[in-house]
Amino acid sequence: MGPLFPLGTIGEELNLLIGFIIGIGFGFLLEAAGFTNTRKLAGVFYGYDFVVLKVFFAAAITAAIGLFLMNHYGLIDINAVFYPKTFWIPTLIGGFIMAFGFLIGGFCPGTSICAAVTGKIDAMIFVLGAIIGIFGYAFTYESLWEDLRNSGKMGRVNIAEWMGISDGLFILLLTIVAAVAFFAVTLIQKKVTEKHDYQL
Amino acid sequence: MKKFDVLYVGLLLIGAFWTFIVNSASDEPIDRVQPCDLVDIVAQTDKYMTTDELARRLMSDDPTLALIDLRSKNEYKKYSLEGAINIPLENIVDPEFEDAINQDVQTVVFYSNSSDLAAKAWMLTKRLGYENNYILRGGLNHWVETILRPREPKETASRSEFERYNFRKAASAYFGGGSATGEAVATKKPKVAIKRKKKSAAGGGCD
Repeated sequence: MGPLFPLGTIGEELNLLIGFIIGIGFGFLLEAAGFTNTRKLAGVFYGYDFVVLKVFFAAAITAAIGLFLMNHYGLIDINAVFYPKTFWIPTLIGGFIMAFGFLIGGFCPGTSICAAVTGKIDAMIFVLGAIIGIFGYAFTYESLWEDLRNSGKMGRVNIAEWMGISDGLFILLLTIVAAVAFFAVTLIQKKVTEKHDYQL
Repeated sequence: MKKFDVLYVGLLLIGAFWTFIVNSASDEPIDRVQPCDLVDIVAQTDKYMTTDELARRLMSDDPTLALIDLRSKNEYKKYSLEGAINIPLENIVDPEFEDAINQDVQTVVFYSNSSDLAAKAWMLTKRLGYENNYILRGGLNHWVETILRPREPKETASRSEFERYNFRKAASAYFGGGSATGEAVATKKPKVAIKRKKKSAAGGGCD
């Protein structure tokens, strides 16, 4: 049955329309949850607000469980779902850059656009910086970045396969780790907010 | 933690346990042919195609017929049926041959010298859920016996048997039998399998 677009169940136009609607919903919820506030994202690093971490973790696990069960019950063909190849060196470097961007700017790419639309000037500058970065990378890709981009090639790797355990066991372990992490960060948050008087 | 957080973590844990249980209960996706269904499938009787039926369809140039020779390459080169594709049994599940044997457009007929290999191939492909595959009853040996060198029935035989003999005699002439000395009869080029529309590669992301 699914995925709808790669299997040709729906056409390009409908695919874009659905993407548009989901995008609006995503932006609306980001704003509603307060993620356009830079202090919310930076809070993870200072230890006074872990909502972002909880959301990321919960989203990843919800998607993993949902995809696994839908594949198991024949609702989706997991082989037709986009699955990126892994290049560990550029991913690691990109991860660091992204983390510094989070910490310094207080936005992730999605929330920066939302915040810019809500009229935050720092977010507009953040988006401008991102656009300059995108074009800068694109125009210097062949001369500067191509070798780095293709280094550390691992192909399509699945972490459960790499560890030699089944997908179901891996999802279960990850969920338990997440549950423990949720309780742990709640305790950290409590301690930090008691000591300092942070305000969102 | 707020009540909602606890509730959601609880839901995720239930989901994760569910995932773990269905994953360890069966490694097979649910749309694969299950063993209990397989028993019924094996008991099916319409999995065979007789040599007469095959001859009739070959003579009428039936374009929906796809012949798969399961023997080795050498045997295939020596002698095979017209237009057959050679897929040795050990390669039957190779992805490059999937288009040839997994389709609903053509009638696929498996054969080897007898029907042993064909029965194996039929079983394997059936297990994968492929449709429209048949076994040539008796294989090439039976083909030679009945179509290329038909034996005249006794005088006391029934009329239908004589009719069949006449048909086979005609078929024998058509296929160059009677003088079936083992020379290559395969003059037609092997048919090219009808390619099915491939699933478009999953696009998306930044790849």
